[in-house]
Amino acid sequence: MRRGKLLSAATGLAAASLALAVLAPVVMSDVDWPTAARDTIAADGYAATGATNLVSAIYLGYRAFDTLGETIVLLVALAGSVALVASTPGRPDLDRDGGPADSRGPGHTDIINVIAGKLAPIVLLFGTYVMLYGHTSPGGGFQGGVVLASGVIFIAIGRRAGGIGRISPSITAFGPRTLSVIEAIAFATVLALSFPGSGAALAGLIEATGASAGVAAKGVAAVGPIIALNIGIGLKVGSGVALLCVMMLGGDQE
Amino acid sequence: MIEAILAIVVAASIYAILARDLLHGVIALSVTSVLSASIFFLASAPDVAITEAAVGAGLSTIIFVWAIRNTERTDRS
Repeated sequence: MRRGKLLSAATGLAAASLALAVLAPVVMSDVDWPTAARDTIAADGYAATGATNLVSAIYLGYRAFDTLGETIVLLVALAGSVALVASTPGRPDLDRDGGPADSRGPGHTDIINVIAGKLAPIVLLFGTYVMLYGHTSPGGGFQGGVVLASGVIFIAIGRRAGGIGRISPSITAFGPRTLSVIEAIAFATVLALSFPGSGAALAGLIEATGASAGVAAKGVAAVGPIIALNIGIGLKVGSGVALLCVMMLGGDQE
Repeated sequence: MIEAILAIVVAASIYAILARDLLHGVIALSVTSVLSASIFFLASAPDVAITEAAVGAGLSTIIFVWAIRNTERTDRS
């Protein structure tokens, strides 16, 4: 027991000094911060991508392939976790859509009722907003997707406890099967948008549609690919994370 | 302001490491995340703040609590 404590203390000390050795030169050096990339993006970011939120302009415009790689990393991590959860005995299989019956379970409280019945729709709406308006306001696909997943998890918790409130049953049909179909379609969309030229093609399509409809969609055409990527990534992240959590929650009811 | 929040973050992190009751440790971790999110917001990085709040305080807490439910609640080492 004592040896273990000594060992963990030594490991912690070694990790802390390693981190200090890496970070101290960065903080203490008197070399100026590099500003070339920052100034270029601050000056040209809006003209090049059409996104007023420069964070979105970078990660979906200048560095969209990095984002694609991140999405694939998340996909692999989720696939591994879902496989682990699904292979644990007593877990629901993918084919079963929907949770336990709507009887009032043992975990039913007023708090659950409020969270699942009244807060979840607001959280879903907020997640959609964060996802759709990532190009002008803080947020984007990843953040909006995680907020969407929280909303689905609220509904799943409420369904487990039998406290869905007044939401119609059709809205609560976020079963594992539905979520995995949404994730697959969204990821296919992101992959399709990452082919060379598809972003420009989409922008051209939006411009042509707007012109034929007589609507001057000023600025929308240029930022179209970023909005589309935000929606694809948001739905993919949201449904993937929600799928994992719904499966974990579903395995609990004995 | 930021220094005070950072001090609470350090205190909550130490408590999260030392807590015998793992559920208390998880709650302390999510407190750390919420406070970090407010620091990011004060440092005018709202994008990072949203991510930290949603992932750190929301999702990872749910996953940790699920893991504790399915294993055991006290640290035996």
